This record gives sequence, structure tokens and C-alpha cells, in this order.
Amino acid sequence: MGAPDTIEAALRVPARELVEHSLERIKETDGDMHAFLEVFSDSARAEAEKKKTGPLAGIPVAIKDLICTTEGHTTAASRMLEKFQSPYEATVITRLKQAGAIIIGKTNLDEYAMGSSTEYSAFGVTKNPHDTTRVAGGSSGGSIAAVASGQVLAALGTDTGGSIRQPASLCGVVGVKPTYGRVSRFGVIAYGSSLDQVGPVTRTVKDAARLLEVIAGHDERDATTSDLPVPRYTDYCGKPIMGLRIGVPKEFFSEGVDTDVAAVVKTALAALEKAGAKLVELSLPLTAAAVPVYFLIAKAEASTNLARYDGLRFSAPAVQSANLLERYMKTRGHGFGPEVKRAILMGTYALSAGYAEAWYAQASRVRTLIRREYEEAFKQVDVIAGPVSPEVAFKIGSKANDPLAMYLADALTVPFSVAGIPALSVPAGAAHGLPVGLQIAAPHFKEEVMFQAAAAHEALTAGN
Amino acid sequence: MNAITPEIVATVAALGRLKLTPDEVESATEKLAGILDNFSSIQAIDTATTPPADDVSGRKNAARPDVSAPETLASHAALLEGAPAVEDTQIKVQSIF
Repeated sequence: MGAPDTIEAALRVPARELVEHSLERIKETDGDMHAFLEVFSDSARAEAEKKKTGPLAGIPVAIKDLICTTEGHTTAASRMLEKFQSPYEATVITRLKQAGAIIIGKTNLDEYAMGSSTEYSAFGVTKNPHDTTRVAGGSSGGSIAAVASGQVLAALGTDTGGSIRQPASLCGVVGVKPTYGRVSRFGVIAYGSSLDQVGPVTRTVKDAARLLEVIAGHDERDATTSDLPVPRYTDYCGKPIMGLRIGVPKEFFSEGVDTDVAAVVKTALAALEKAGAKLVELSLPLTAAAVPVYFLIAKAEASTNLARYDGLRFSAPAVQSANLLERYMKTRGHGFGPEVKRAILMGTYALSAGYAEAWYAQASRVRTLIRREYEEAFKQVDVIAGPVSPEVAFKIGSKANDPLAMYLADALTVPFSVAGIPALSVPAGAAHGLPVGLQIAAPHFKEEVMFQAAAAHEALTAGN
Repeated sequence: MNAITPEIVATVAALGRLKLTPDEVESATEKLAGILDNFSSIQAIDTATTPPADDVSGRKNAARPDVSAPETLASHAALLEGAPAVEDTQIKVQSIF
């Protein structure tokens, strides 16, 4: 019998079979693909022998190695945390376990979640399962590749500026960035604290909805989490979309977007219109401003969040130094990779005296304008849709020395991050022989409408 | 807007407690200059009457009861276990001066 391809089907299979299938698949495929940094074979097998109950009973789940687990290490794919074993687990991990899930291992990422290709990992790149000469995307490349290659049915990633959605588009799976404040960030290593969100990575929209139901909700340990109740998102998968108003921003189909990618997305939108949805052309003039706004704010927040890494409390690269300050400088110089150092430099510069008003403060004000632009747009439409990435998966090494080109790869995902609204990527077809995702965004805390539209698209393209 | 120079990069690196090699300073100067030149487009946007986006969560005065949590996140021993150097119950560090 073949392996189950949805969580609902997997719930009917004994946990030990699911775990053994995952472990076998990882063994077969991960030597080259490198989705995982650590696999918890022993603890997963032990957990599979226990009675499991809940909506994810017995389901193996892979975890981006930015999220603290008490099993194994939590490295953030950085030399700085290479030997770090977390003394506590993140809230999202506790919730997964309470739902019966089995944590099968930690997946690769761009170091400290800074990147769009998983090439900035200190422990090697994760390759795209569709073409191993190309990137899986990033920063949650490992989690996405693990789902796309059939190693697991579900994984958690994090999305700050597109780090779940972009790799999901490049590898042909479903990836969700919830509303900022929907999911607890307690126990998640911080990149940009006003932007980071944990989200599900799955093969189907309903599975993503199921996973989000489990991890979402208020957490006393994260004061930014909303106390709005969590809807039953799965109930919205399969709801009709007659009359659903889908906003299509013309700026999302500019000349920077590959014409074949744009064509795939437009075909998907046309199918939704034929099924009864109403397409509404929008103009969002601040779309281009979202890239500088996002990176200035994210890197500023990152420079603050990374200030804690001094090599004193947890194992760090061994350095010889004359005094404490020199130890800090050398430890951080050795422990951080090039993109993280660039983040610290850009962020510190944007916040420093004489420059902060022109860079960080201006970015923060433009952020308010972008948020207002989306609030206005949602007075006319129920969801907003377009491409996730301007291109398909690029060749490994093609952008690694061009950080600006790497940042511009996120041009279509960062606007929603800056506005704080939920967005997902759902497979829409292929261009140049590689996966293309359709991005769907909804108003704040209206993930259910996003799932409704995405599930409708998925049903229309089933069997394609 | 000041141009990015190697001196500015070196100053910012020191503020960020980063020791960079001369090659790293040179590379960072070139790459940051290009990035910030591209990002300077936001300076032209009129924000004279726009407040900063200080509050992104929508939460105000999020509080919890001021009581000790019945459980602790991790034991003292567990927290010391990962440190490179300890002495008794303290993490040992190099001298500051």
C-alpha cells in the first residue's frame, strides 16, 4: 500500500508505520537533498509506541531548526549555536505534542532565517527536490523540501518576509504565513520581532488549516499573541466561492515577473473567476516601497535580536582573546556567517545616531502607509491574489554573492509581511518545468477566507 | 545622505561588536552601498503627517496576573549545563579590563 498523502488518511495508519516510512524516505533521499540537520530516530520510534490522541495523533512533523525543542539541538543553522541544546521547548512544539504529533527532526534553513535560498546555512545548502541543481528557496528550505519530497506530510517553518511562502512556491507545496500575532513566537529564535510568524507547511490546503488550528491561539508567554478565538479553519475548506471578490494588484505583474510565471498565475485566477469568484483589478502603488521598508526594519530588529549572542552562556567557537570585549568581537566575527554580519551592519547603521531618522524612522512611517493601503483595499475585496515569487527556483550559487538580487526575490511576499496580514502559497502549476505558487492574502485574522479561496483553487486543479 | 565608506562600516561593525577582516570591510562597503542606494527611494515618500508603525500587534497593555508560575522553564543545572565555563553556580567569563 502506498504512503498516505493527507493527514486524514495518515490518521488511519499506525504511528510506528508512519514513523518508519518517514525515516526510510529520509534515508533514501536526504544524503543529497539535505533537508534535515538532525533526525530523531530513537525518540520518534519511542513516541510511536505510546498511545496517541488528538487531531495529529501519530503524525511525524519536521521542525525548522529555528524553533526550540528539548530533543536534539537548536542551531539556527549557525556556528554560533552549533552545540546549543535548548533547556525548554517552544509553545508551538508543546501544542503539536498535545495534539499527538511526533517530532521527527530539525530541518535546515538560512542562518538565523536570513535568506531566500537556504544557501546561507552554515551546514550546507538544501537542494530543490524537483531539480537538485537549484535552490529549495528560503529561509525555511529544509522544512519545505522535507514535505515536497515525501519525507513528511507536515512541517513547521517560520516566515518573516516570505520564508515559508517563497520556498513553498519553488517546491510545489502549501505554505502559510499567519497574521502577525496569530501564533506564539515563544521559544522561536528571533529574527524580526515585529514580523516573524511560525506557520505550517503541508501538501494540501486542508492539512495546513488543520495544523494552524493546532498551533494558533493566545499564549501568556508571548504578549503579542491575539486573544481572538481560533476558528475551525478546516470547515472553510470546500466552502463555495460564488461571489468571492479576489483583488489582483497590477503591481504584482510588473516587468520584473517572469512572463511564464505570470501566465500560470493568471490561468489559476481565470479558473477561479469561471467558478464564480469575481476578479477586481487593484492598484497598490506602495508595493515597490515594501522591499526597502521590510529590509530596513527587519535588519534593524535583527541587529538588536542578535546582540545577545556573546559566546558566554552557550558553547561558541573557541577564540583566544585578551579581554571580554575582544572575545565578543572575535566570537561574533567567527560565529556568524556573511548574511548575518550584513544584517547586523545594515541594521546597526539604520538605527545609529545621525542615520536613524532618515532610514529606520522613515521606513516605519512608510510601513504605516502600506498597512493603510491594504486596509483600504480590503474594503473592496475579500482576498488579494498574485504570484509568490517573480521567478521559479534559481540555480544554486547564482545569487549567493548578490544580496540585493536575493532581497528582490522577496518583492512579492514582503508587502504582506509589512502589513501583518496572513498569506499563503498554494501550487498553481509549472513554468520552465518547475513549480509555481499562487499567493492568496486575507485581512488581519481572516485566515479562514484565505483557506476557502485556496481550497477552491486546489479543487479546480486537482489531477492537473 | 552620507555615502557608505570603509570608515563608516568599521565604526558600525564596532558598534555591532563584530570583528571584520579588511576584505570583509571592503566587501561590506561595496554591497551595503549598492543596497542602500536602491533603498533610498523611500526618502521621496511624503510621511510628514504619518505616525510610525510602533504598534503592529494591536495589543495594548497585555498583562498576566502577577503571581509566580507554578512550573519553571528549566532548572538551574540545565541552564548552566550548556555554558562553556562555570564556577560553582555561576557562568565564568574573562575579565573586562
